[in-house]
Amino acid sequence: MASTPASTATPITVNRTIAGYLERLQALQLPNGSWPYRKMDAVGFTEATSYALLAYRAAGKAAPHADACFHWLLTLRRKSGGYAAQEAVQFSNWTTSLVVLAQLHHGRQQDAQSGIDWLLGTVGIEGEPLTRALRNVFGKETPYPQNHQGWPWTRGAVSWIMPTVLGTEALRKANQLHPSSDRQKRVREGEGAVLERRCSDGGWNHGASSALGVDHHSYPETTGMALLCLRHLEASRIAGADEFALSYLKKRHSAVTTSWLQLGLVSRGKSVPPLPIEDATTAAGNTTTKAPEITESHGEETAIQCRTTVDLALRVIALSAIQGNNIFNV
Amino acid sequence: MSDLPQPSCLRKRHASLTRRAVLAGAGLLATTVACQRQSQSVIVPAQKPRVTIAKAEAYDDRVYDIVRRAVGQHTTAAGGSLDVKGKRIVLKPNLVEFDPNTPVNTHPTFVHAVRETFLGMGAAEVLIAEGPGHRRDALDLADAAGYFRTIRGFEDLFHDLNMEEVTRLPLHNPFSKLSELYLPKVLLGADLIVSVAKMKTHHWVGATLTMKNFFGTVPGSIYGWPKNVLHWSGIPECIADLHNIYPRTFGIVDGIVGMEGNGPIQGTEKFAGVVVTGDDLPAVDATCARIMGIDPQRFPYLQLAANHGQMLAENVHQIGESIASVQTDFDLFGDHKEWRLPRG
Repeated sequence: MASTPASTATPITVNRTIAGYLERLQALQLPNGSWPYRKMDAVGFTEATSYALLAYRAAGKAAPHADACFHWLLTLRRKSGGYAAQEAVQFSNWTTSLVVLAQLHHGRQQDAQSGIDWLLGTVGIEGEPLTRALRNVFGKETPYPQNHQGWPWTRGAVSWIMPTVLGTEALRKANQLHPSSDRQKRVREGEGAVLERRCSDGGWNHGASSALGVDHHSYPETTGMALLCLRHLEASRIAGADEFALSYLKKRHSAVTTSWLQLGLVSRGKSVPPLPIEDATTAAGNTTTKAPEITESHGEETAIQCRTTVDLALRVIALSAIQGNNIFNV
Repeated sequence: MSDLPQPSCLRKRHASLTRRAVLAGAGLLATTVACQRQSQSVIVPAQKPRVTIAKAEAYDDRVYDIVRRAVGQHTTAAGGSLDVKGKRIVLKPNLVEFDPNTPVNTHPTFVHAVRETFLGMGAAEVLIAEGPGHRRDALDLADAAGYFRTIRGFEDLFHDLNMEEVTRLPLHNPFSKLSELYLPKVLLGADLIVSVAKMKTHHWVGATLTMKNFFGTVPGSIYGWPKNVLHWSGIPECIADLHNIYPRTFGIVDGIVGMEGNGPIQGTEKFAGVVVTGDDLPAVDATCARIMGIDPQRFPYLQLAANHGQMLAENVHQIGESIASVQTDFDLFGDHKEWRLPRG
């Protein structure tokens, strides 16, 4: 099919891009309502399913087979109240944050309660009261400040940026709907944990800002997520971080990375133009809303590739935020 | 019955273990893991493990022949144990970062050469699977690292081990603090897993070679990025446990251009010009360590896993180039500087 050169995106082409991504998402949905990571997968996954549900919410569309999908998610709830990453797994993990976000955004507060409780009761081990007390008693130095409570990927491990940002966002949304002091406290703690892990280069690594005396370099996706989490912080407290993320955004990145950078910057009130869009559908004279041939591009040979459910869903969420419907706008 | 190389314990107790049996139940797997946990006393087998060293100058067309010959030294026809005809093979490269200009990843041409080798040997299927430790988007990472350009149909061949369907394996009497692991079915169902590792120093364990490479088989969607639970459960111990979990493995090390210093990510390029192959991973890793000028006896994970004395050169049947002819000291990081292999 012939295609037009990538050109400056307009609200219309962005909406068509979102529609194209949603169409591809729907094609991936499994009969039980869940989503796999990739077309080759035979089963659904908690993360992929939650992101897909959030994408529909961000785009203002009804998620297909939503009841079946949310019912499927409940089958992954474990005794702890949190959610497992997939059916075979018996313990809860970081994906609980995403399930809670999806449930709350789709008006399923009652379902979300157990996940919220799990999040409130889960802390990276470096932030557990006993660990902190022992550290204070023995005056043990840590390689980076560990004064705040973040979230680990799994219970029994230390906090990392991604689960801490997602945990913070889930509780921020929960607190918006039903404010409580414990939710507010963990949101502040989450922000603090992210803030104190900032790398010396101005962005954020996945976890610690240094190891074995060597500074870690930052990564674009974690930098974008950190900015999202710290969106209410005045610029002076993270001086240069927005500019750092903007410089990252000018380079070629994956769908996931581009999305988190855009979400972080948009959430901080920065102007983030969407990437140029190549619209093969229009070139072929097709003016319907079906737009599977639309691609976003950083320039020649740098089209964003959406290869997984998470890729597609995050592109929808980020583009919707650029259009003014930011699901993280809490 | 699989006639692929298996650890001695499996050969003794599970001679009839098949892929179907592996998939059939976690109970059998649990037994498998339990039986392999042996005492740390060294029992040198009658037949020493075979490790091949080959010289390779660059990632060009010559690599294909070099890899084919190096692997060929281990076939049943050559007196080894490798017979992959009709088998399902999974290659596990070391894929870490986007930048194609650093030595952080197993080179795509090298992986392609390995795949072509096994297909040429009659394998029914040769998949590629990896679960990067830090980066979420493995397919994009592979694209940026040159895998899509080099390996035709890569996307359909590739399994992102961070996001695969898993099976629970209880670990009985493990070296680490872990009591169980969830691992991808695509690996547990394979007839042979080939660790296509990169020769790199590692700031926590000394070097990352064929055995440490299996950290990438632990799914991030369950345990996170990086696989922090393995760090907290003891890195050397987890390396040894993972080695025991996968019963049918083969190792191929891309040591053409490796990494020295603060590896496995922030180190610097180091030309070593070697390819190392073998069906006994501790022996392969110990050989690589010697090539890198590191004393393998200082590696805690080899102390746990090399229970056939593979840490000593005299217990390895060396094929191809001698270690002395390819040995080149890799810069070591921090306390690992004390691990330098004594000379003379």
